[in-house]
Amino acid sequence: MERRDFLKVLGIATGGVAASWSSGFGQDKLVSRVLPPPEGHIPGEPIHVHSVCTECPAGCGLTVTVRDGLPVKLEGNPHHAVGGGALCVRGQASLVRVYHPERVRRPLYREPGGELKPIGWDEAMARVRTELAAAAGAGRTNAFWGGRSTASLHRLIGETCATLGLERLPEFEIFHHGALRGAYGRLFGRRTVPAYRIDRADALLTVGADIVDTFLSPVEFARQIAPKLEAGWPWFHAEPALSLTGARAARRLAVAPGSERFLLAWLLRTVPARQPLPAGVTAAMPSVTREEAARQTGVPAADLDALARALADARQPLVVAGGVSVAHADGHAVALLAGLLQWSLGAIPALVDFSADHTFDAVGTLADARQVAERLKAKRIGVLVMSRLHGLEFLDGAVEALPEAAFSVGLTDFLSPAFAGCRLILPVSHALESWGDAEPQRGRLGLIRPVFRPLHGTRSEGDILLQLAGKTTSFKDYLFAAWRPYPAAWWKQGYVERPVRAEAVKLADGAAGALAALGQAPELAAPALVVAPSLRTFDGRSRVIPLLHEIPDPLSTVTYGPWVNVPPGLARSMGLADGDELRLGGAARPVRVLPGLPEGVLLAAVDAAAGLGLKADPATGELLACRGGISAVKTGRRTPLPFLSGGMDATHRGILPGDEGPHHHHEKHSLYEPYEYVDYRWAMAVDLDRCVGCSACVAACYMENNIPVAGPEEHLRGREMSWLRVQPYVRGGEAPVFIPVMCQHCDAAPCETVCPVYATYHNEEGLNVQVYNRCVGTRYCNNNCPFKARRFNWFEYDAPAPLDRLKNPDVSVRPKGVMEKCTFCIQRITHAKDKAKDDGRRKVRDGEIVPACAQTCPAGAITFGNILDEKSRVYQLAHSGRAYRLLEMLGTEPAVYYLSKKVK
Amino acid sequence: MALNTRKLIPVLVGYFVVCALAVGALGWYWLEYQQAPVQPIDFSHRIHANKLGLECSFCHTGAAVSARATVPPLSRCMECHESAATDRPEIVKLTGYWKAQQPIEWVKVHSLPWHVRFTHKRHIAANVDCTVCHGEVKAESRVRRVRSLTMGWCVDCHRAKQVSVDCWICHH
Amino acid sequence: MDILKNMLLPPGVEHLQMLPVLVVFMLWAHLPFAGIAWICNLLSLVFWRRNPAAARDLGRVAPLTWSTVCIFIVLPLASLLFLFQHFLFGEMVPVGSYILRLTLPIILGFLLLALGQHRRQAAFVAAGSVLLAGGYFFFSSVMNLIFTPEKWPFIRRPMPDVFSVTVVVHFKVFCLVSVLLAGAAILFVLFHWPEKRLPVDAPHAETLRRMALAMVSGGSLLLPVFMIWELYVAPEPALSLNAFWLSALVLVLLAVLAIWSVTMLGRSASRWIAAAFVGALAVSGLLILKDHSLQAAANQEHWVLLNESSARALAEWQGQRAAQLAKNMVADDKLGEKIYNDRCTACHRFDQKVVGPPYNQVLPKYAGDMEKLKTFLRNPVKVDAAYPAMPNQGLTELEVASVASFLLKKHDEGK
Repeated sequence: MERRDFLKVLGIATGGVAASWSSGFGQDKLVSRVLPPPEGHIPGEPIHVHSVCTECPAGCGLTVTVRDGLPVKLEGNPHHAVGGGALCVRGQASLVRVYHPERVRRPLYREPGGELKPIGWDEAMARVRTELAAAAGAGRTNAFWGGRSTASLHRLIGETCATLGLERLPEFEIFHHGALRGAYGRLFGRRTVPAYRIDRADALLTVGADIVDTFLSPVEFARQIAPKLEAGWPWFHAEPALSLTGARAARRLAVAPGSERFLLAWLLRTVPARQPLPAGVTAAMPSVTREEAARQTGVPAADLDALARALADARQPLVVAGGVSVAHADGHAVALLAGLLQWSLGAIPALVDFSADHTFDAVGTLADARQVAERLKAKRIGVLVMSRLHGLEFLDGAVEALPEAAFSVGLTDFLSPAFAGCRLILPVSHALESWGDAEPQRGRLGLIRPVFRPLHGTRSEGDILLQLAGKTTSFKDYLFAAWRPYPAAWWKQGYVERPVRAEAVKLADGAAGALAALGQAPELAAPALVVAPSLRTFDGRSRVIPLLHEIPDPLSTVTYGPWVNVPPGLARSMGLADGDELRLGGAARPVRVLPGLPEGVLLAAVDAAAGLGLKADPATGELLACRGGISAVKTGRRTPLPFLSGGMDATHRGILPGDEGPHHHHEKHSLYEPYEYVDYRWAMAVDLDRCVGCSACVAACYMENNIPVAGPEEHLRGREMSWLRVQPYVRGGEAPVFIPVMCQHCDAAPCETVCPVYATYHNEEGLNVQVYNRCVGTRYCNNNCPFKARRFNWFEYDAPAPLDRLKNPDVSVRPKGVMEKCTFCIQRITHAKDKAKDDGRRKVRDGEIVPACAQTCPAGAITFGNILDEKSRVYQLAHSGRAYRLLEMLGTEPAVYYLSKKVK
Repeated sequence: MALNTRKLIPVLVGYFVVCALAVGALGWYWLEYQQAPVQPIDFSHRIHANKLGLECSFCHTGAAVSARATVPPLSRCMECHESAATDRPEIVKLTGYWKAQQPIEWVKVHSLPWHVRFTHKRHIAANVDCTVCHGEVKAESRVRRVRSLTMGWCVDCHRAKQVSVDCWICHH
Repeated sequence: MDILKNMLLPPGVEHLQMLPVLVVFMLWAHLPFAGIAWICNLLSLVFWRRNPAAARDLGRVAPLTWSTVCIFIVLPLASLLFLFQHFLFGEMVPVGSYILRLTLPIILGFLLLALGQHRRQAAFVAAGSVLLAGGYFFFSSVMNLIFTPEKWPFIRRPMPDVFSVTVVVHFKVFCLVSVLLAGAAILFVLFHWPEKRLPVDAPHAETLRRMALAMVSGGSLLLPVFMIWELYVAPEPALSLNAFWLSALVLVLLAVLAIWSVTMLGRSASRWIAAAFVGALAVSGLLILKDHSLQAAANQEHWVLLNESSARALAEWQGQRAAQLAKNMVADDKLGEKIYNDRCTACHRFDQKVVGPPYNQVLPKYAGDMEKLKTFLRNPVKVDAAYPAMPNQGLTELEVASVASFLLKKHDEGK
């Protein structure tokens, strides 16, 4: 008799076995289509549509996965020049924006002093026209003020402004690179942001430019530097605070805030010039000695020498300045000297490419925004049509001036602070609901295609503008007219790489004058506050996406903020612990002690800086993101901060490469037979030399696997739900190492043996499988997992409509009381096997299965495959000599191999 | 020794009333939830699949190529019913849906619970006949569920055909 | 069991109509008697030593003679074998072979009982009872298998799936009905039947009477529990309204039986014994009906297709026979003329339009093609829009041939 039969008899003998036929007909419906699906589309099977990500100015290529008419996942378009198949954490999470329950769903209008009330589109349009006429009659200027726009929309805004008699105000971006554009304008007569060809450089100095965090096109940069990181290359990053870029660079130079000019000036004098500098320029260059540079910047002289040598020895060295290093009172000098150094090192035009520049032409600076505010206050602006004004609230006094317009019209998807006071709100469709195009860099034109009909009564910005101008054409027609000349293949692939003509770049005559006009470097007294762009919300525009708050900030591991990072020394001297409040200027913020943050520097993300009185630099129009002499007072109050548990210090814990961990005095014994795998043993290799800690994998995992957003209260109880976390670990004084930790699918998995109901078991392909419907929620497995990779559903995390429609139909939504964890994207394994069977293959090819985390990794740090196959990439990586496994001394035999040069 | 058993009679009556209620409750549950549900249009597979001899895949086009068998779009019905049997009351209903371009919400008869991932495609590719899971639908005027669709039943078949019975095949 | 398959003809239409009735009848012929015999013999074992007279009396409640064994056991089981083979004709389930395999131990069991009673050998009776218990357990599992078609493809053992709740519950129902029936039968035979009743002064009469009444009351009180359980675990496609109202009817009967038996327990003499026995038989009959309603509902689709295919086969056969007959048909001109005069002339003249078209207009197209004309006459369809369709005359083949031949001859003459 089999065990099963025995149990049946036992059940009969004890008198009760529940009926097996219990489920009845629920309210499940099979809704028919009215018309057949388009040719080649199979209902329920995924459709892939190419588009462009609009979550930040970088404009990465997108592949949207559409299931049953709804977009369910965003991935990078592997053929697109920007991103190359990868997406960042924001790009991955941006799909939530479409389904966000708080989106504006219909036009809203408010009487002066009244509440916003829904009105019809026709009425809204008529009202705008009346107000335009009235304001013009009253002698006020009507104006259009928007964020950065490119390609067709950019042209359409110009045409609409001309038709309606609107003044087109300079476009608003917080991170507008005004200092760089100004400096390049003075030096080379090109007021623009050139493309930096990091892939071609063999030595790199980045000064403040956080190229893997947020600077210009971080996904592209991360993709370009990853192979170099693995190979090891001289990449120096000088920064006043701490960023992922700094943590990742081969050498991080912590410079004193505001002292970057000394470093660059010394390099200009020290590193031999490859392109001659005119005598006038040489004469006007500030003279800085090695000792002075070391003293001013606080960088040891030996490091400076190493830097100078690396730049001098390289065939094609590149210097990139930007970010927080040009966003302080001396930013103009830093940008100017960096541009000059680029010239002197011969990086122009080969590595600093002005022909394929980032299209920031129409973007103004914060000084322009300030001017708009002044004009508003002087009641000179009549109707103000606003669109995409992201982060305006961080600029002191800007939002407050908006109500001074006679009538304000907001084109927006959310009632963000800049738009909350508008008299008329015109809801804008998401890019996934509308036609459009984008040209983030000159010559790289991408088509934005709607993948479904708008969820609400919204319209695309282009359509709204056309209708305001009284045109009957749709924006689609307008766009098609522009795209018609392009070949059909471009339409299909969704992007164009138009050849751009390289133009010769010359050092302008005024360069010497500009150098001579530089004054003394202003002193930035300690403590300095550095306000950096946020990896998770960029300039605050992604704050509406709850998922991005759920994913920890990779440096500090804090999830729900706002907070301010303080260096350990300062924390000690002020008696600050995590969560203690610190009063900075006008606002109090809880602190997080951040190892590796230079002493004398406080670091906050820009979205945590509202109310701290951010000002614009009059010289460059940049945000004064790096300010000295901050008054920081401990208030004595505490705000609990949610962050990943476990200390960051990983010395002697068996976590970091080359670290044996505590010695175990037991021999490895097992009561179980070793597993014998037949066809597959799935394994993963994570290259820590490549990983930049950007957390894109975490967001991809959330989106792919229907992982719920638990919220801050749950986080404070330590109940986060992420299957994959990027945890920073430090050893001694080194920069943090980011370790993506997911379920390790151990061979001798401690979780499996303690499950009383066999809900977690080891399958014949080496996967540690969790069967949700079998799980009874004892959480023994969680207790026994040394990697803390398991998550428990304490609640049903129901998303409010329409966010509940954002579900990957291939993955079960777990109910409460059930344990869950990384599955190695089992649904993708199934899919690949399915395809192999369809093609008549017995086995899956190497590289055919790409888990969501690996798919989106800009650095290509994650490799997945069958470790039984000696030709597979994962086998080769695991046997490359760089591989180690986490907590190896425990003998759990994980299937996730971490790669690092430090292992050897 | 004569027992006075008359006192027991009310207890017996009560007992049988309770039993009758239990039978009634089971009957009500069956009527309400378990018998073939009433569909918005009284579509007969017996006419279409048996009398007319249409193949299952004529309407359920997805079965061989995707996870779902799919119900046919209205346009497929109207290919014939534009002219065929247009005066029957059920066809009049159908034409009404078509004129309003309104989809039909069929009641799902073969539902699987949330934790099961099933794909038609693999089963069709393995030459599993539709009737194995759906029974002789062509003999049904109103579709009913004739298989329990329980895990034990699925596993029986997987064992018999020597296919994987690894949990994750269906549960992930 | 290919022999079984080869022995079977496809069931005919009339046979299919009779089949459910026959199944129920045969089960009813067999199960009550078998149950009574089994239980009474088991009881007689209890009294074997202590009270040999009582044991002997119990043994004669359901006497196993050649005639009873043939009528109540061999004949029904053999018929059931074929009835179920026909009921499940074309299905891949070896129910026939299971029943065949069960028949042998069951018959052997009864023979052992008979032998044991005849020779006063307790061991034989015990062995027979055990054999029967096993046999009817597996019988239950076969009956269950019939209303669980989803298990059919996965039977790989020589026996059907026996370790399931439904089978055990079904068997328990059988046992309880047998106890109930045996109790009623003891009362009926030993206390009511004029020829067989016990003498009034028999020392064990009161013991047996009380035991029988206890069996009736116990059976009727426990049976509802298992009957409801059986309904609860029955597969949903096997259920139908019939199953529920039959169960309700059984409940009513059981309630009456329970009240009667409990009341009688309190008295020194029993009344209405014959009615109670009939009631118990009715209970078993209704339960068999209910069981068969489960089997019929579960195999509803199969039944529809089977009926259709047998109707089709019949039609085909009739068509073939008709064609065969028609080929050798000798047309009878006299008959043709008679029909012509009786029926055709009501609507048709030779050269005149009446209700139907004149013959000289329509017959030329049949000239030389008698088969075509016959086809039309067998099943007239509308040809000319100017006239109403000709009603079907319901002619036999001979009449068709005769009238066709007559018409064509007349047409030729008219030329």
